[in-house]
Amino acid sequence: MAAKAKNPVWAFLASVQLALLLIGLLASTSIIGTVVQQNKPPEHYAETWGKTGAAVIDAFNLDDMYNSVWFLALLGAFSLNLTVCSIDRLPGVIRVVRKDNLGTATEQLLKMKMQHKVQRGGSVETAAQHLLGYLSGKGWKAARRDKEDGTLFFAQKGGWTRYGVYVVHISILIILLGAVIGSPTVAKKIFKNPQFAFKGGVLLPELRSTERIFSYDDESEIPLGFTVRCNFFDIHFYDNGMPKDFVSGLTVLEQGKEVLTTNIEVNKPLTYKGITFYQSSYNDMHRPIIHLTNLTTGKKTVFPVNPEQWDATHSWQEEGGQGMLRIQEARSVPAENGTGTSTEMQMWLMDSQGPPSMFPMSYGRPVIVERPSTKYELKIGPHYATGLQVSKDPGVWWVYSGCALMLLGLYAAFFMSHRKIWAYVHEVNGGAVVVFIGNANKNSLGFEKTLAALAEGFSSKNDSSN
Amino acid sequence: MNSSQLFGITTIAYLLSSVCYIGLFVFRNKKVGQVGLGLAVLGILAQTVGLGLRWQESYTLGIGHAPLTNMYESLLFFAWCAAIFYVLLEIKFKLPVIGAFAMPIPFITLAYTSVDKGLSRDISPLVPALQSNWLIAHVITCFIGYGAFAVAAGLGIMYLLKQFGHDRKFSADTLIGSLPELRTLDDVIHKTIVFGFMWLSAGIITGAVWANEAWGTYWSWDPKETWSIITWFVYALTLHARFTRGWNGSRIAWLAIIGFISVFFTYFGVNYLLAGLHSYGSN
Repeated sequence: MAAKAKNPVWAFLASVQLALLLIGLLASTSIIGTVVQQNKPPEHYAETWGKTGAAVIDAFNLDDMYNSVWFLALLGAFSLNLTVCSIDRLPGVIRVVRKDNLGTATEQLLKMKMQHKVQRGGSVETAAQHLLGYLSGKGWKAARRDKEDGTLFFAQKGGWTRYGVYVVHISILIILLGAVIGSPTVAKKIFKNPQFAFKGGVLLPELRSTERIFSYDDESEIPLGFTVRCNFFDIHFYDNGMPKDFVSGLTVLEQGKEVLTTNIEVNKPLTYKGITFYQSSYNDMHRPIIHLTNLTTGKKTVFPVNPEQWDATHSWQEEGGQGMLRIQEARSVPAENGTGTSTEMQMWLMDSQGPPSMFPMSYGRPVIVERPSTKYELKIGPHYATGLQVSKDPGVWWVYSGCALMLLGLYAAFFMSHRKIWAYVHEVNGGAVVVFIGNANKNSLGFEKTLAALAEGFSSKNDSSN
Repeated sequence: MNSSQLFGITTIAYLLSSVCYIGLFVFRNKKVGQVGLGLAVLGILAQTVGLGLRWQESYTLGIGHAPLTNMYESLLFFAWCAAIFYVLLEIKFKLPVIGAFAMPIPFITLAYTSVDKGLSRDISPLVPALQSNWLIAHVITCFIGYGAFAVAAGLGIMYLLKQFGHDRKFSADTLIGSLPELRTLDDVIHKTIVFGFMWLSAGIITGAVWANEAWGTYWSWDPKETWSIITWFVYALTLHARFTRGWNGSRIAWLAIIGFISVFFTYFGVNYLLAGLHSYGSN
């Protein structure tokens, strides 16, 4: 087929030179954003880089460079190059994969490097029949074509692996597409629907609920479409003082009805209706709160303490009836670590059975209260607000699929090869001779061994069957 | 015996193995090379037991986790990956002289862990962000890649030395002349880079999935992430230049070295020089 004269713009967009240039530019400019800290207030840049430096940073958006127009344009150009390059080359690859390998001239085949000759004897037709059975027994499904001077068989494996590199290219486009679909900016400015994809957060005090969160970009309110309540927040520490876990108990409510209650931790987010809640921070509200856990049922109840009426009675429902507790006395004592003060309290607790329990308790230290029917863990500590990161990213599955595809494509492109076997059966001096010819686009050395073993196997089978 | 004694034995084994391989390179005595391989395998076994013991020790302390969570542990693991990668490479390509350029890598790494007093060797509990099953998958995939890239850089240096000798028509009897053929080295460099690239890609992907679980975003252009993608670009560029522009020989050797500098910066430089989310390894 005559080569069509290509449009020079198309040729440029499809060129590898452009790809190398763009990859080089992406790699080198990306360094800037790791040296210039991103998304800091303007004063930071003036302090760190001086007045001129700050002006340059401002002019090129280097304070948020990965979202700057020029960097996104580079990524866009890279995507365009990938697309055009793949469209440009795929027809050629399809032609190679679909090639009529039985149509190759015998003389040309016999000139190929990788070949093994097996003296067979007998008629060409018998040899051909045996060969077909032998090849299919070895997993090579061969096609046959009779030629003037003999019979040619052809079988191939891994033709599809020639697409591997294009699978990788497409996977990159899919990942970038996923990033666009999941981008809050695109959702807001192009789809005009901030609820489609967002990233934001909310600081939710224990026992409070919310129906909306705040976007990280511009602090605008985003409705969730349901309600989330924080039942409690808890931090645990290792003996050496390092934080062990941050836990928030969350309940999802729809029209006032509880539909889901669960605990989230760092690395264990909650996803509900495509919206994911991550444990990201916490805040001490500087007010006390009482945590009560029934150790038999595991039921957790919290009572915020109003500093104005700290000795109020709190009550809760138990299976056998009502429970009540209150702080009877409270006094300030020097804190154990020597800085500041702590509080010691005298507590009063009663549930449906037995006389009331009275016991001392320190702020922040849990105590176990033994009752005739059950045990409670009681603790007074700071009233926390849990800091939740809340995001909706409908593009994430595109990104993950792209990633999986990329690994498959890389594997096919680098570690698998397109292997071809021809077997040419013809008559020499009244006896059949079979020539095995092989070709592989990668790892020829390894395939040479496979072909030798195949020829050897046919030759020894030949001896035993005659 | 505890894990640090085993790591001491490992360091000595890697040192002696390097010495043997350098002996093979200088005196061309095949026996010495075989001893080098034996010592490398011995070192790997001692280190494997050591890593296993450290893992077990963390359980004894009641904070059980894989020994992959701070700079000290990651260096141990890097040395282990590089040594194993080299031994497999020798088995596959039968070019023991490469050991003279490869085995010093795990040795220097381990020697560094015992010299740098600022490096904490404590088995410390995991902060909440690291408590994930993705930890093991992410660290292992990245470090297999790093190990391969380190060896590729060693091979790149070999290539340049050989070419230096070649250009000056050194005979095959000279030190440099005795290195493997340029074409063979070129092929091994390329295959090593391809192998590393596959694992680096998997490392970046497992990292992204994990970041999405822990931080709520699979990509945040944090310096560590950015440098990993820069490294990925450098190797992608190398592979494209080779496949489509026919680059080979000294250009690929240089790119193998530049690529490893980028790996090194991703691994070390980011932790010490740049601020970011991914700061677990900086102490």
